[in-house]
Amino acid sequence: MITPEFIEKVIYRFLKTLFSKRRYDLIICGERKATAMLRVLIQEIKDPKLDLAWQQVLSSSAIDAYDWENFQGKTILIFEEMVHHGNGLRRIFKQLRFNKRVPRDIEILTAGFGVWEHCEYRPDFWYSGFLNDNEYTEFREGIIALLQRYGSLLLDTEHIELIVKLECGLSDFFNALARSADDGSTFSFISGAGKLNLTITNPPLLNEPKMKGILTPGSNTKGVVKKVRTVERSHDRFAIIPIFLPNTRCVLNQEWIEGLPQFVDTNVFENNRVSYREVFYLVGLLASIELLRGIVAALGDLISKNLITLEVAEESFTHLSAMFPYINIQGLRNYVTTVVLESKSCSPLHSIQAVKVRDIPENILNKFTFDFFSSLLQKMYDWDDQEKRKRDPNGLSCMEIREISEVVASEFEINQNGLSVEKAVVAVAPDRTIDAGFLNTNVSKIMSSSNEPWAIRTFSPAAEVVTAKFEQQIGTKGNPYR
Amino acid sequence: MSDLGKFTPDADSELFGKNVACTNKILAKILLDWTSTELGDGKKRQKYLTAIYFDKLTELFCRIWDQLQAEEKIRYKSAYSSYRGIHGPGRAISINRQEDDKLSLGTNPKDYRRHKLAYITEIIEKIYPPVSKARIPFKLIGDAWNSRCRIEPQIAHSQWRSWLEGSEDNSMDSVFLTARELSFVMNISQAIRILTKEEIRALGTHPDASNTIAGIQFNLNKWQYMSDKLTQGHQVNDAENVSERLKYIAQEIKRKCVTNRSSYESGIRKLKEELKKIGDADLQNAINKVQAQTTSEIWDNDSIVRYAKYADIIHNVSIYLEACIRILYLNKQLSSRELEALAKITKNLDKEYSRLGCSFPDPADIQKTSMESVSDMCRRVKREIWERIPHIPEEGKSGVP
Repeated sequence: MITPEFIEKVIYRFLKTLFSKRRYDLIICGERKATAMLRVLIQEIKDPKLDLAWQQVLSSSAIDAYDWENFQGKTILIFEEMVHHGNGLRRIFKQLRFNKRVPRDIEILTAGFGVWEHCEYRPDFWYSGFLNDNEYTEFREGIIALLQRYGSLLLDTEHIELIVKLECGLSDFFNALARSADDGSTFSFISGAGKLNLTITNPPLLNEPKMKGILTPGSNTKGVVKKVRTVERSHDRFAIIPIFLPNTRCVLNQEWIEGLPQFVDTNVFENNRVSYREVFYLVGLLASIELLRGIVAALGDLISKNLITLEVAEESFTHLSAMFPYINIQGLRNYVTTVVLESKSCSPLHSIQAVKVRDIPENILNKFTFDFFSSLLQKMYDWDDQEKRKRDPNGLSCMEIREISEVVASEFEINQNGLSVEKAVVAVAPDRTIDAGFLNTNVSKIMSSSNEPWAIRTFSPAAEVVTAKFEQQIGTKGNPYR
Repeated sequence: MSDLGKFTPDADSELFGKNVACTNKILAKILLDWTSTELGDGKKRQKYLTAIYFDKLTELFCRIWDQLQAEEKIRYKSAYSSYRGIHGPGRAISINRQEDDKLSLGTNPKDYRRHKLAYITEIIEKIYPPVSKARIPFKLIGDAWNSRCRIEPQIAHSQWRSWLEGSEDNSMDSVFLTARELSFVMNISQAIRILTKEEIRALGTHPDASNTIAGIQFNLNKWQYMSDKLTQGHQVNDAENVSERLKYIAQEIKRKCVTNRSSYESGIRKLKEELKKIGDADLQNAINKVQAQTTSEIWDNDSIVRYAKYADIIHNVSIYLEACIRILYLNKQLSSRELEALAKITKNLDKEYSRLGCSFPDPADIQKTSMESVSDMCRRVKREIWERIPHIPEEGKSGVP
């Protein structure tokens, strides 16, 4: 059986060997597990850690924003933790050679930790190169378990986080967080590795006017992902991860560009280096920082009594350079520090008596997650060819995800022990499926009725092996959680 | 368990520490479930229990759990032993206090902790997980020795489940709770959850008639000692506190003899109904063995009937004595409500004991009398009561039944 401990050991050895034999000036990671994997090896594991600077790492999602004209290096390595057919590697390679016109004197090599036996586009280097279906699935699941063990690291390759160190009990901490949103918005549950989680859905903004300056002209926040996740990292440390991803109209004006914080290198907007994807993630980054204000205000009492310590830790930011190569990371950290300091003296939204944390038992969450994901697959299978052609291949929108959740939730017994199942599972199930590696998040470009480009968050099944497993499960045994 | 190791230097820290951790986790879960229970009509439970109620919750759980262990249905006993105190049986551990702790005992006149014992609230106060306080099962608000201190659960429901999932390996020895043990915990929690705090207190205080008798006698012995101090002509430096304590002990005697009966009745009825719904035969059998199934088993016991006859009088004498001390020794005034209540008590005492030549002055006239005269009357009343109630030899000093 492939354990997370085994994966950690061998992937470390694989990459260490790879980097010791040759110098790579840039390592491009297939988003998002590869970036998360590097984060584990560079920051989280016990010493010795992988000796690699984040400046040498670039996410595949940020290729367009990278300053290729000034790239001085000689060798690029594209790394994916698992390579199935090799389409991901091939796509990145093409993007570099043909879209970005990376010159031929710059060598581009590829590496995959685990490779499927029938892979069509094989990488140059691998650890295990001929995995059959079962082995491939085991390796993949071992990687996901490892990422879950280190605290849902699949989440945060593009999100900032604050680290909270507790000197109080867990209940006081969770109850304080719940003060940042209306009653019935805060849910606790356990993720795959038995880690404690708290999700706050739709927390109000403390500074609405500030948000207007962050959104590109015409963008909106209707029905978007807007939540704060709190994830256990260790016995007494939690990561607070705000996630706010507005529907972004990708028509920029000078006023908006000039209004960006100083840590953003606005040169990136010249010369068409920025695509809809970068605009979306940048707006999402800035919007998520605004969510922190309410959270910090809610924790104010605990902070002032030294019952918790809130850290804007360097190691929570350095990995973001892979995703945002045009951002000064220290500048971003300073900005967030200022926001935190400003918010400490603000009043929380609600008193502690007015709100309650709702707990979601695993059996409900598992049942719902299974049904939700099955329904999602079914919906995608039901698309006819015309529908498929109309759509960006990157999946379903937030609204569509919510619709599926609501239909599935309507089959559940509502109000189990005072828990509004619909609201709870609609809020939490997508997170659970992302944590478990079932669901990928993407950015899709859609054209509005006035033919303007918009970027929205979309979701799609993570991998062929995942969908195959679900199909097999549904076909033979039905829902195992019922 | 570094704090626990310092606190219990003689214990086998490896096994004992683990057992304390397990017991505390289970108690935290039971308290969490109890405080989270919605009462219907939009009412909510309070988020804490005060010390005595929590102590009795602990006693009730540990009593059941230890019986299950005695019947070999579970692997380990609870970490705490039952000791007798003013409020009946409670759970504690035997300790050797460090010098600083020993010195601190007795500096507050209301701190009744003992050198060799730590009751459950002090255990909670002093024991933290080895790494920070992030996973403390309880929060204690107030002084651990004060009956009004509050104990709140600090765990989240999801934290309980993560404890169940997380063990270093899956061997029987290291797993926190086996499936059967978990079902016992959940069933006990379900049964206790429906009880009011008074019902928990009553069930915790009264396992059976013989324990109740021992408890009453324990209180009577304490009451005798303290009333002797006040009435035998010794100038008591701390007369006010001693008399308040005397009154408190008398209340406890009355509670055990009389007041707890109705709470016990409703509690045991609810418990039996809930156990029937739960359908756990092993649990039901264990509870049947450690808990009287009817109130008459306890309160219709001859000795307790005789105690009950005098519980009110003992209480009234204590109130009267305390009032006299406040007026005569301390020059304090009573409120009009206190005076009114005292007048009724005086009338009853007079009616009952005038045949002994006792004439208890009215509240308005107490100032004209002397403490010696009041003490003399109280001694005569007490002598007569003592002749009429059953006497059981005092237990060993540790209070172990």
